Amino acid sequence: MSTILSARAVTKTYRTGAHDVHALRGVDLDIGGGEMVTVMGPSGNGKTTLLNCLSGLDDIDGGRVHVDGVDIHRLPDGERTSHRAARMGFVFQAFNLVPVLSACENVELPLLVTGVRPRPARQRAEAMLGRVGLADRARHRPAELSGGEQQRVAIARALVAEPAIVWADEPTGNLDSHTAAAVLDLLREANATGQTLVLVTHDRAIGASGTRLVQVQDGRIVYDGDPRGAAGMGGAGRPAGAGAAVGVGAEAGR
Amino acid sequence: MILLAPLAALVAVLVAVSAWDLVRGRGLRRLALRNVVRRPVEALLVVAGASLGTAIITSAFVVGDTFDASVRDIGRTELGPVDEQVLVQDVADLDRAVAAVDAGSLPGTDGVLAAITAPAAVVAPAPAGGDPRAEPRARVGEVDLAAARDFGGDRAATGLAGAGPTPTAGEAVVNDRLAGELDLAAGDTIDVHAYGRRLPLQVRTIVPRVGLGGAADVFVAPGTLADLAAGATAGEPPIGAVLVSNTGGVFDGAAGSDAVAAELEARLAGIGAVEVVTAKQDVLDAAARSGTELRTLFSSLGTFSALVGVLLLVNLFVMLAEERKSELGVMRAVGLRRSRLVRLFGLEGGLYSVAAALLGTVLGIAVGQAVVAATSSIIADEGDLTFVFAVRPASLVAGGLIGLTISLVTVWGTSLRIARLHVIRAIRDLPDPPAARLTLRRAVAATVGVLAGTALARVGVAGDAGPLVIAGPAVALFSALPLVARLVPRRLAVAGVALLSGGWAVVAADAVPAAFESGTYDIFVVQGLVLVAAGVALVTQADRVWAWVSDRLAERGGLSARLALAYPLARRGRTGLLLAMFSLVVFTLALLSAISTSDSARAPQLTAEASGGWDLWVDSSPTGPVTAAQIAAVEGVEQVSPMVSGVADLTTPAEPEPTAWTVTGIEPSMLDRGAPALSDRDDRFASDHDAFAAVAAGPGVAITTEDLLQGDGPPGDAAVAVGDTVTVTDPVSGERVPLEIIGVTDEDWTGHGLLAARSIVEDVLGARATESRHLVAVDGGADAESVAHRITADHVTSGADARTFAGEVADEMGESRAFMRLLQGYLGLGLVIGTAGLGVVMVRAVRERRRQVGVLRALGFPARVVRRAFLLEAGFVALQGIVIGLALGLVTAWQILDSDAFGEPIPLRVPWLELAVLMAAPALAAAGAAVTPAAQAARIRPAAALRTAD
Repeated sequence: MSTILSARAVTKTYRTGAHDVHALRGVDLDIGGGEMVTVMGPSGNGKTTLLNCLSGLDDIDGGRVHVDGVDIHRLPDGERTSHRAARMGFVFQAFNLVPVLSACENVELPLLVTGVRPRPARQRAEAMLGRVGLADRARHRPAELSGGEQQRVAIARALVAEPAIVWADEPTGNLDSHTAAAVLDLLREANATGQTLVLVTHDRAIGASGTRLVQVQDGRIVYDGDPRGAAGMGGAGRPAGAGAAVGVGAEAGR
Repeated sequence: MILLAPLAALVAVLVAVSAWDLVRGRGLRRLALRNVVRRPVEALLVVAGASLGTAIITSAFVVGDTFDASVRDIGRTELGPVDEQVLVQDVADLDRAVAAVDAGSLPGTDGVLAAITAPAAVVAPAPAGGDPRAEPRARVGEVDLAAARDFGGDRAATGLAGAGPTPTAGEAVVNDRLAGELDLAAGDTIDVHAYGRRLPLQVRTIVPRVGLGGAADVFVAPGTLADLAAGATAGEPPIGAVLVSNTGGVFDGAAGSDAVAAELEARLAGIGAVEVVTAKQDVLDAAARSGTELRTLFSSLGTFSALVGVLLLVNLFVMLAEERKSELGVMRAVGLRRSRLVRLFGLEGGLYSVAAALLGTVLGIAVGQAVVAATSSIIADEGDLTFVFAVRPASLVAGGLIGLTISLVTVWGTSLRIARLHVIRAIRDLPDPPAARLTLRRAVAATVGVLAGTALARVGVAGDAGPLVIAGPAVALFSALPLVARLVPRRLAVAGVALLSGGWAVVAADAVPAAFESGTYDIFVVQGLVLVAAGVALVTQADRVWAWVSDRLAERGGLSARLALAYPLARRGRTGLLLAMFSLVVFTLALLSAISTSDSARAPQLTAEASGGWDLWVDSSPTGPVTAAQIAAVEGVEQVSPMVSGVADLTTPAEPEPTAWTVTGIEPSMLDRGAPALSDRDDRFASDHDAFAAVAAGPGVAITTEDLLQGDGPPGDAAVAVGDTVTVTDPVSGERVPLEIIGVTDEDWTGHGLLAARSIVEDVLGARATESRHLVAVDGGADAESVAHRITADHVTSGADARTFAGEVADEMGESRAFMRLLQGYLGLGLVIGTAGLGVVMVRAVRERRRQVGVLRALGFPARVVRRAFLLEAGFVALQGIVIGLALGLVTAWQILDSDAFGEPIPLRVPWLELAVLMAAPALAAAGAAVTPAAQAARIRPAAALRTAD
């Protein structure tokens, strides 16, 4: 399994007035192609920050993040944006669909931005919506869809350009258990086709369903391995590194 | 001002509620104040945007005050203590008249003074190497300066405090107006030309043109005018006047004028040709009329800009509510009653409104000053009116109060709407579902609206009120929308209502012409508002068309354009408000531009119609006019047709009170080169030429303009029509002759007044009819302007004033165009509001869509695409507004020009280049307003934006 992402000594500090909040404190992480990595940890301990920094959505203060061998934080904003468009897909807890566009128009956005012509983009978007079971809802706007339907549209949007990595931040956080299971199945299907999936979650069941679990605490990775071996997940746990808890509250309110 | 009391009461109630909450409602106060300071720059923009409406209204009052004060000032400068004038046509009767007036004390008066005046030309010698300076139309007067100084008891008001003793033979006292024009100083010599004689005088003193100092330009020794006139065979003789000062000051003395005039009439009953004129009262009435008219004009037109301000406020408050939707939902959930939510917004908006009213009032003074300065420069050549900038405190209060009321009503109305939020949907930030269901309340409201609109229309038709005739059906139709939407698809219903309302606004004047004869500015305002509302409603329903455009754009890779269209199309209400703002501004600019251009294009036609084949006309001093032979001798002159003119008392069926008016007598030679055009003529005559020929040759008939004996403004019911009889009476001899009107002209370019046969005018007025006007044709190769200049220069001592028809029409058109420009500039203030509004809306849009922009950036949208999307969105809205406003402006211009508003239908000429420039202004303004917000949007960092949400 080739390494698709490699992070070394990644640090991230938020400055809030007189206080510095160290959200990431020297994170090292390698992710192989086709893995399904779940990221867990207490609220405010750096999970979302880790996802944002590894995906290039946010800047880092120190360290390196290579995606497909490219040091993404060395890229100018434009190139980093293009790299993201070509290689990554995103699913968010709050769905984050563009409310004034239809489901189909939302799904075709990543294709259009990467230069796919509108007609094939529309065809692929419709096909993707068919895959997530929403072929008949393609013309509806987000406000006309249920929460589960919106998240399925968001997953379709994340997968339609066939990115190398899909980042999912609490994708089932706003859904009931039945709908959450359906959404998770969609993500697993994508992973099964070879797409790398990094999924932040609070849900132990989901956390345990990945091929690998990363536990974050106080801005550090405290466990990285088989989900069954992690503390609180049925195993004894294996610290991935040592460090004091400094990053409490790093995610809150940001 | 009648509306001020209810306005004040309404404002008082709304302010009292907010003041109570501010002082006693600690929770509301804290929330409202924190919201105000939460985003200080935007709060300032809201205040600035709202203040412009107040500024425009206040400026209209300031302009009215200034014109009022300026015309009133004529009372001070030309009359001073004089309240009534007894005009004595025969100077021989002056002593008897003075004695009759002064016999015993005249109740309510404090002074009587005799004066004799006559028109004359005054020439100052040429300075070294220069030309002589001349004033062809000066007024020479004789008055006892010692008595005049004490006249009315206020020496300063007479303007003669420093005049010294009454001039002796060879001396002259001149006022500073004449001194300024001829560059005179004490000790200089001048020549007075009158009755064919030259009188050299030395300037002894220069007095201010105030009070009696403005009654004549040159004061001479007693007996001078009689000596000049003695033996003269032609020329209007000097006229005597008994000047009367009422008790009280310069302005308040006029209050007793009616009683004094009645007493004067009684005392002078036995004396021949005298006329009592309530001079001061007439000037003050004219001042009030002109002030009111201009105040109405500017405040009516300002309605457009003020409405743009209202739309801005509504838009901002709707956006504020949208932005705070979740927190408002939470507040409602934790127990904040709906009424308190209304008061919370009312308090916050009230603070903005009060600040905006104060700022707007101050700005209004500045805008008013600018308008006055511009108007002053436009009419600078007109001469007599000197602008006196004036602002009455009551006007500032009124302007501020009206602006405050508009803001407060808007704020509270919007607050009521905002407070009707659905708690759960608000907390979850879910959109409101479309209000498809027709509730009982909506049905009742719709029915009431339909009935009210119908009633308005009926009242309008019955009372000939054009604005109601247009507005009534529009109110009824738009009110009926919920009911109609039950029967047909809503899109179709809106389109139908919009088309019917707009169509009616265009054709109403043709359908109910009687209601539009008054030609008030309100008609134009209401028509514009209904048309723009209809246009915007129609366009916002055309989202399928735009969706098609959006798809085509996407096919061409226009991702930014697609996003730019998506938001305005999805939020039709908000887009409609913005569209209306731009459409209103562009509508007014396009309309005025098209009308002005079309009107100006008539210049050659008007010149031909007015001139009757002649190139120029020459007026000269009635006391020593230039002769036809003298004019014919000027190089370049081919033919001359003399006319006689004088002032007679005229009565018409609509104006039975005798009014002094110019009467001109024409000869058959006037028709040697054609005839002027008539707008209406008696059916007995086959052509305009025939009608003029009948006037020149025959007794009993006359031609005039329809506004004979009318002041400024449209003549309305008092218009003179073909078939009316005008009675011409000589005020001296009492000789009278009835004349039937057989033709009417649109304009009186030369000031001929009533045109009759020369023989008739001479029979009635005798020696007072002077041959002081001539029509002149120039040689084929000669330049008319050059010939006119030569005639004026060669015969300055006769007071010759030659003007070409083409030049006069061009000047008039130029003034008209300049005034239109002024109005466009004034209305362009709405553009400032619109642009500020668009800017604020875009800033708020960036904030509102921060999370969405973050998502787009996360998906790989480059910053430039985001920036371009915001710029295009602003441009899209502005462009739609421009197209709507332009189309409606041109349609309305066509409709107005095609009616008889200008006397006869005028073909529409579209000034494409000018319109392109005018339309570029809002387009650039819109782009400029969006630059900063678009840059802000492009700078949004995806992680930061997403953290805000997640």
